[in-house]
Amino acid sequence: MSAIAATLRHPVAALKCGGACVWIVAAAATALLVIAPIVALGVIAAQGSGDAWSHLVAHVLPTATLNTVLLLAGVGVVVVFVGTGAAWLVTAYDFPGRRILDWALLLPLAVPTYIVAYAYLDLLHPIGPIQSAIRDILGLTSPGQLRLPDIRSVGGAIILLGFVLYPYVYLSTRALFLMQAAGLVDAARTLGASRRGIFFRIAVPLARPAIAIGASLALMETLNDVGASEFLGVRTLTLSIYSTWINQSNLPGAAQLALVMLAVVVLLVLIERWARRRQRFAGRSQRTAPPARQRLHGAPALAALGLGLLPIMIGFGAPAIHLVIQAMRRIEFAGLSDSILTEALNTVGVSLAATIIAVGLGLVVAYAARIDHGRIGGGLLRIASLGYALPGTVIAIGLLSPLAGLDNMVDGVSRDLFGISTGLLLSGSAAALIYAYVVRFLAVSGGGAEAGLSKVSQTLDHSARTLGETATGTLRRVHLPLIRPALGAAAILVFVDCMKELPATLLLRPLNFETLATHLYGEAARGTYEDGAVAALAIVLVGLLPVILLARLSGPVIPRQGRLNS
Amino acid sequence: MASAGQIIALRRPAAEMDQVLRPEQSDVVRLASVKPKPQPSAPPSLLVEDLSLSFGSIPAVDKVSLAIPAGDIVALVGHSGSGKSTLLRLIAGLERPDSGRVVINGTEVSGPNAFVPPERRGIGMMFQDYALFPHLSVLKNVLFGLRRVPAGEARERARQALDRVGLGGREDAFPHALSGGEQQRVALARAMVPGPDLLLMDEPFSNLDRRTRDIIRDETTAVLRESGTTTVVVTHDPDDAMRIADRIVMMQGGRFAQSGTAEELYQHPASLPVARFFCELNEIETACRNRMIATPFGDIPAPGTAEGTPVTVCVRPGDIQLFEPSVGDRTGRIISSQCLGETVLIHLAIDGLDRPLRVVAPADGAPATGRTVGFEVETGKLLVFPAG
Amino acid sequence: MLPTVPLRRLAVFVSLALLPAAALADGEVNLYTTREPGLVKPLLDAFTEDTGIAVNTVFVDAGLPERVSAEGENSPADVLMTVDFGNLADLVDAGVTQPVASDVLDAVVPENLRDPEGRWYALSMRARVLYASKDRTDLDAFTYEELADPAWNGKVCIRSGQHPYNNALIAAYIAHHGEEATRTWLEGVKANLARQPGGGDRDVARDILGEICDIGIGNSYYVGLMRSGAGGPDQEEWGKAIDIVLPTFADGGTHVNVSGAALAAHAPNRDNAIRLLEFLVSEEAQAIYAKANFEYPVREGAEVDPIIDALGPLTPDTTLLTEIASHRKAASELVDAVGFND
Repeated sequence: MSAIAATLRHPVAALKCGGACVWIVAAAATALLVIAPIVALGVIAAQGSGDAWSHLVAHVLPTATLNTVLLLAGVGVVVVFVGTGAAWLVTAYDFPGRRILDWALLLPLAVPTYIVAYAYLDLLHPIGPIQSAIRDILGLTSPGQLRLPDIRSVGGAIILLGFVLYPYVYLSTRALFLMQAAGLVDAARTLGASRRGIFFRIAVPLARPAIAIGASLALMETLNDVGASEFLGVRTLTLSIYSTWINQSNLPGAAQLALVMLAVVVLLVLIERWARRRQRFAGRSQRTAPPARQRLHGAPALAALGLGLLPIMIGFGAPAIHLVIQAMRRIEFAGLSDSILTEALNTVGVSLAATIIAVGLGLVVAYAARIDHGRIGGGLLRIASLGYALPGTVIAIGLLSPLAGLDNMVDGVSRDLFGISTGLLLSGSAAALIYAYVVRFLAVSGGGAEAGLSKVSQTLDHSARTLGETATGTLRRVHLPLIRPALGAAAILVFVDCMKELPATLLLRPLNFETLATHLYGEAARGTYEDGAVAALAIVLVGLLPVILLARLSGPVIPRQGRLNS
Repeated sequence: MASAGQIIALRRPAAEMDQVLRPEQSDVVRLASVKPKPQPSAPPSLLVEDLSLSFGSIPAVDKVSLAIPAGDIVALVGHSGSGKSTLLRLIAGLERPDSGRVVINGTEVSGPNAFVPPERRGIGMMFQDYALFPHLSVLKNVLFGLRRVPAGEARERARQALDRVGLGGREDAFPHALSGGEQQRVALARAMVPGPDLLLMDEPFSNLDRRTRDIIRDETTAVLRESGTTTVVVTHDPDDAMRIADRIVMMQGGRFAQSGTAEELYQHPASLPVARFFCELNEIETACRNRMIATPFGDIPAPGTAEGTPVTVCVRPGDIQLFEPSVGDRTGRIISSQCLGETVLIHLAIDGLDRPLRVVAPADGAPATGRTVGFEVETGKLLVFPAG
Repeated sequence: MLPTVPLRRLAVFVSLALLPAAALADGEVNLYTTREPGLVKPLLDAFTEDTGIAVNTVFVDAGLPERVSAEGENSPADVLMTVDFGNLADLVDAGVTQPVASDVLDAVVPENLRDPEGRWYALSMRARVLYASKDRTDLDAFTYEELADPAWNGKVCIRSGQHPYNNALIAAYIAHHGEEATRTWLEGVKANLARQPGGGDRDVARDILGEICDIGIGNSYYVGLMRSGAGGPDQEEWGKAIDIVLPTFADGGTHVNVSGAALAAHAPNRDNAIRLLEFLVSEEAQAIYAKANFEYPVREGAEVDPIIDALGPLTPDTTLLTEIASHRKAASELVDAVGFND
């Protein structure tokens, strides 16, 4: 009866959308925020690039494309191999130290790729500690007597990026392994499959969507990496965008190249989704228990521990130890800069603000896609994720004119109406930075929210709706409590990404606003990495806490339900 | 599945054959008109008019109309893909129709002029998987729909509802700790406690084992009768439908194949699919010759049926009578016999039929395997349809 | 769900960070710089101490002209400072500068180191010099042309050919010899490389110490930074492993590049901006350039640091900076065309 009364009170037109409207409109507004810089880039690109393309096609694209493809393929293989292997190690086996590996395997997330590149060049240089030690052991006196492969190569970049970025695959795949029905594993074993057989015949095929999601995040990071690639001398397509823009003073040509790359990435993502279109088995997670771990003793246990420690040492341990030593020497030598605390606060502040907004908007687009059954909403979610496929500086350049345009419009109106100049409200403040982070990393939060929501049965929505709850109320009372871990994990990934972000931060920050990353870059740009060691260490330390939090959030699914029970 | 003991024989006069061969294609089913105590002044609790919804080019629900008077329980039956669940979701407002109207208690909730979202329709709904909120206790699940009721009263009502379904004392348990039957009862209590004008149930018993299911079904029916809630139950199980519903609507290909009481659908199926749905049949393919249809049980007159028309003659396993020792020309050999408790299922090989007939006979004095026996069916119990 | 931080503190932080720069009071000057903050800070500190004018800075790497141009009339930028001449030219091309009429600047900065219309001024110079192994080479003189000499096969280290420092050097080479000769030269240099171009200038010194290569190209001030010990004991060792030769073009002098500054087109604090520019060429500031940064001052008679002085007398190439700037695009395209970085 109350329903009828409510219906009579409300105008018919307002009800036509059924609550979903608000979400679609909000998702559309979010997509617009993301598309604005891309449109601006399109406008720049449309100014015409002169003869840029004949030069690009003849001299740049063949090698840069080859390098990029090699780099992506290599990093892809490394992250999938290491990430999946590590996830299987800690979910299928139990051995002393496994609980530590569980979260420690995420640690490389805290280290920006450019810092790893700097650190490894120090470590692996002929006059660095490792080669010096090898020479001492071999009784050699001069670096010329022993030539090891140089880390400054495509191969070196693949290894470094692969071992820093594998946690994206580890994170998504481990969660999936933990959720796999014990029944499936038991069934496979009664059918005569060994543990290894289960890995290749059950676990990996089932985890393919999760592996694909993790690997695509890692590959986007690789594609848009500038610092490490340039430092390691790998001429990628992204670097070609830079040289077209800076050295050839051809911003339109650079924008065209960036947009073509974006189109290729979108195409690849679509192909990948199409190839996986029938793999919809990831979401069925009702009534599952993690498969029992096989207990290892003695030598196998030691081997497992060693195997698990290896990626941590390469991706985190070695560079972090190096940074600690460098930072300590630096502090001894030059004292601790008093600005480091302010910079750390700035870093955490903007990252936190951007994280909150990105997670909120990510939830909006993912939820709109859900209640719209993926028609318009699904498209909006894809559009909102585009920012991740563009290098940070390119986004920043794209953001300059919409931001400043809006600022100057507001200023103009304010001058006309009140005679007060508002100046640059957005582009003159950290708001521009936060906007850029949100655009850049909305794919991470939106994807996280989408993945979380996909595990919540649609009948729960229907149930709540028929019990009189609105779409918005359902989100608050049903979905949010259920997807909190997934959302929290996404939030932390976004936070760590924001904290490490460099190119957009450099271009868009307001006056007198330094973050740890810009401080580090300022030192690195004039070749004084050692002065940046303290800032680099601070980035790693600030990133460490959320990464450990993330490890706790991404823990086993079943015990969490058990906690709810208590 | 209906067991043989409950089968009620239907005598169908041969004169009705003509009608059977050209079944009426009526889509509008006025259940109210056949209700024993029609109340013309009160509007139906649920009115569905010309409702259609297509997924792509495939019509899921195709111009169906339905009226349900207050307090009635109607079962929507059919095979998977028949459109019954989609119709339920259209009524709930979980889907928007392409055309047509849904009116609940006189208010248009779906139609050209309105779309009321599910939360404002005053309905309750139960789901096949129960859709209990995993993060909420039993009590909080039941309280979910009572937000506008003062807290104390809401608690009281929720406790009463849980007591009514026999779950008093399990308020603080979490869904995953409950058995399937308990989960179903929580779902029922949760759907009922806000006092919906219309209760929609989507396969509410299909996740239960047979024994639990009989108990829960009877309990659920009792709760619904007691509260007088107008209910639409979607099920693929004819047994559920016949036991719980006042009326049964059978759907096929997005349309209504037939509707009526359980007895009407069982005894007078309008088409072969309807007949098949409610009973496992022996089917014999034959044709009309000289205005007669020849069957192993004798010839049936078929006036008005064109020469050579292929037909399917059906006979229920329980309608075949066996005689021992055999008398007359109709004899067959028993090739197997399985005990079903009070009855036996016999496979009877007959000359002229490729497959043996299935016969359900009382266990007491049933003939043994290998024996030759006589058989007989009253021609009035034969069902004849255009070849399916 | 989210990392917890005291909300009140966050609110204070956000409100501070969101304060638009335009709200900053007078008595200030806003500096956008592509020059690394570590190199600029000592100068700005001295300026503030002398004048009481606070300097707000933001260090921008790529995209400075785009940013100022997008900000338009409301841009808070007063002074635009750049790390090399190419950036200065970009700023002028983007129309984000305005002419300065300052007798002080015109008197101090030599004519070839400033725009005739006063749209930019060079503030300091550095030379692109040869780092050569102390142990394995013995060079008194060197020409840039010799980098392509097959005698150095497998013995040359250099950073990316697209880095602005090398871009300007190659552009200068074009100014001297034309594009075709430059292409041949680049191919020769590439054939001599001991490793892929990458890293920074100081990695050249490190690689020489590591016996990866024998010679390489780097900026002059890095020699000072390394040898003075300002970069720590490791770098001091790198600096000591190399000899420095000031190379010349066969038909000219040593390639120099400049850091410089310009007055922003819509500078809100125009007077303070000009005071800052004038300060930067003062004896005090030029001494800082020389002592703290190991650069060559633009001011006549200002002393260079002893470490730099020890490198020998500098004979700057006389090619006009504007001409070098005009060959930047061609230089970048040649680097691509010969696959220099591959």
